[in-house]
Amino acid sequence: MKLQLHFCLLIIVAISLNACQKESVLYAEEGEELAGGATTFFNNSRNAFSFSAPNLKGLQALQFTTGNSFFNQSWVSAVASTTGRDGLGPLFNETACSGCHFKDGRGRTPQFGETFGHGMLIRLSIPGVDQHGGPLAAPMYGGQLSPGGISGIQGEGTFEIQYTEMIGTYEDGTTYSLRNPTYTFHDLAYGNLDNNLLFSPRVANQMVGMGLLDAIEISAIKAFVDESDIDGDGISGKANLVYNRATNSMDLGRFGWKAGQPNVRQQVAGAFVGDLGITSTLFLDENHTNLQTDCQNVPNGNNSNGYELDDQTLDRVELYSSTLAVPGRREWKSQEVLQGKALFLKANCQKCHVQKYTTGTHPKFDALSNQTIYPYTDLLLHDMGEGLADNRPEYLADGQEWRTAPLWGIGLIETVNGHTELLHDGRARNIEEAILWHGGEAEASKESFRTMSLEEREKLVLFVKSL
Amino acid sequence: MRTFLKFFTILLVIGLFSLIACKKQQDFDKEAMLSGIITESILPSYQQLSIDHQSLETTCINFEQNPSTTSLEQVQEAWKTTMQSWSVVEMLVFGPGRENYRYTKLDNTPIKSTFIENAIADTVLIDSLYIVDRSSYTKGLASIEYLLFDANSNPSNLLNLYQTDANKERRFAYLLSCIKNTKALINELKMEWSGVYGTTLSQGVGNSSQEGIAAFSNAIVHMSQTLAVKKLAKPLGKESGNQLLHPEYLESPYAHFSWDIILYNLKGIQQIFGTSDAGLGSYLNYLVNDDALTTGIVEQAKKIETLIKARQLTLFDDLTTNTAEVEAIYQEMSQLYIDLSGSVATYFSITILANPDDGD
Repeated sequence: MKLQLHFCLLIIVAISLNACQKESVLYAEEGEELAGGATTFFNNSRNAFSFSAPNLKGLQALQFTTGNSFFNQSWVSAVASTTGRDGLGPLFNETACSGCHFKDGRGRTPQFGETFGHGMLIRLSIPGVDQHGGPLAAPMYGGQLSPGGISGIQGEGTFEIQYTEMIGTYEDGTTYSLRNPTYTFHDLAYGNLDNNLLFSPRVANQMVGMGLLDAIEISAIKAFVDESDIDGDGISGKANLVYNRATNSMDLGRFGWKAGQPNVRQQVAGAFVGDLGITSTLFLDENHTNLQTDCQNVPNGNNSNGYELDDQTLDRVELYSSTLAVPGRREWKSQEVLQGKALFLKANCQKCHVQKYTTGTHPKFDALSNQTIYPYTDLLLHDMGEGLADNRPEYLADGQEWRTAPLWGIGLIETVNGHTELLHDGRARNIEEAILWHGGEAEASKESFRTMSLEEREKLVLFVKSL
Repeated sequence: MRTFLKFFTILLVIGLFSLIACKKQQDFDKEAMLSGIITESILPSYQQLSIDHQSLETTCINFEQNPSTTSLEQVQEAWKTTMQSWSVVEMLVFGPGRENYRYTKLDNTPIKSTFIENAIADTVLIDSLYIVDRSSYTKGLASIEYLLFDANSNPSNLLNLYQTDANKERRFAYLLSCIKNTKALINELKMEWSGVYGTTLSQGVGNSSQEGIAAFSNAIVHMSQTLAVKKLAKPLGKESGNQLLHPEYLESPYAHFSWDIILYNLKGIQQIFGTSDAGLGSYLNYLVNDDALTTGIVEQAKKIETLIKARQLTLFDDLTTNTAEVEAIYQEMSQLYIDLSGSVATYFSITILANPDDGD
């Protein structure tokens, strides 16, 4: 009896000791450092976003190089000695894709007295929808403010940002500051801005992983749709339905700040015409309006098919944009990062920033097929609250809704592009501010962060930086 | 016949001129320039860094054995000298070292002091292996700074942590393990540069010498931008809506060594750009066929160097008491960035990309 009692006591002591042990060591999920699956490339230099997917082989690997060239070299206005890169304008934001997506990275706001951002534009529209349910272009200034014009054509205008600092407080009493932007427009070359103008500032996103996002099967994305919040978790992800020009049908939106484009090819072609004034098989009309009469009879760089961007060139840039390597995680095994990941999950960030998918079969690029990837996005629209609203609808996205931004590569933006500006208009100066701007459906997660201790907040940010 | 001869002569003359022009381009010995940069700037800089870091380790061991005000000051000075040497090569974030994140592990700011203190207060064994697994925000030269300096300039408080505090042995273990870790990383980098990588880069093996030129050009352009934007503009409050100063963005918040770090970062740029045969400036001279551009850049860098050397206070103090002078240095640094990036992009036939996959 005595022996049994001693034995029980021993067991009780052992269990108590075990309970008193320090927080257990955390382990990374196997393979989570391979953010892009086999398309992952480990590099944390200034070129981290510019490598081809290591599993891209053969002819496509060569074609990547050509696409890189068209992405980085400047286009010129017609008539030119080159017919391969002419047709710029008549209105434009940049003369090359890399002008906004410098080093395939993230654009930023005007800095320290500049009049232009680097990779920032202003989308324009008026209330109403076009024939496909998309934004209705402003009659005079069109769908986007273009500050540049070719010889003899005036750029449309410029913009200036003023910031008001808003002070907030963490639960532990320390303060933080968020900068709220207001915009003014200057040097308007075509008269006053259209009445009832809606505008939306947008910075260029980093280019990595686009093809992989394209390869996620629709069913996998729709699995997270819960528009009516049936599960009652406060998150109501909504798929955007947008016009697919190639198929002349409505399709799931995946790309752009409001998921306004259905696939990489149309995103690329849309950027060519909107930002460079280069028409293509998908966008046959120049980027000026009928009211901008100066632009009407300007020479163009049309080929025999009646548009400026050869199909083959579009193919190459689509390939390039689709097969850029996703940079591998940094410090994914450190305990602080893993503890930060646990806090990320505890705050329910992953409800929208979905961690993991397995891609389906990509119709063009095998390298992107059947890859386990960690993009941290559901590609769906969410109401982010009044604070972040642009009040400019885009198809099914209303004025407060935004697509969940993929987080892969976010920790390398500073290295690649020399800044840490985040959110659609670059107002957040760092990850911490970006989190604090979350509202609407993300209010609860934001509050979770705001009420964490300093150490917990630092760990969570460290985790996000490791992505 | 006469018309034909005339035509043929013209063609011959045009051809000859073209050949001469092409030959001129090919006449510049890029391999010699790259080799010169490596042997006359990079390798000596890494050698100096090695020597200074050894002194850091030696003085730290001495500090551990005899913790006193004197031995603390000695190891603090050794850290400063090491930081000066590191700052010269800090911009070389390319080559095999980048893929193992060596540069990040050597120096990543801002550090997380809470995590360091938690580790010291813990019971887990602190040794070299433990430090290897730590995040870059809790090791490296910036973390060593935290452990050796007191931000509130209260030396007796700091000394107490090493003399009487209950966790003094663990603090020493953490400090020395960090130093051993950085020593190993520096040695690895030195070997890469003096070995295969340095040879490959200077001889233009694989992708021609253009890759080396692009890599060094990227480095100096990026560093000049970092100096202007991250190290000066942000603390000056230029990205905030209320123009308030932000001293918390300054590098070296504990030792207040920011001016020196900036000065030696600038020295790194000056070394690589140079104007001797072992510098990118000589290549620029050759391409432009004039030295005005290079001279302008060299003079601009010297101007900034003079302005910084004239500072009597730390950048932390200058930011609040002599804001106009800091602003002036920021403006000059911005101009240097513009001059460097413009020249390099225009004349070196690169688009500031060192990616071997670049199709240009």
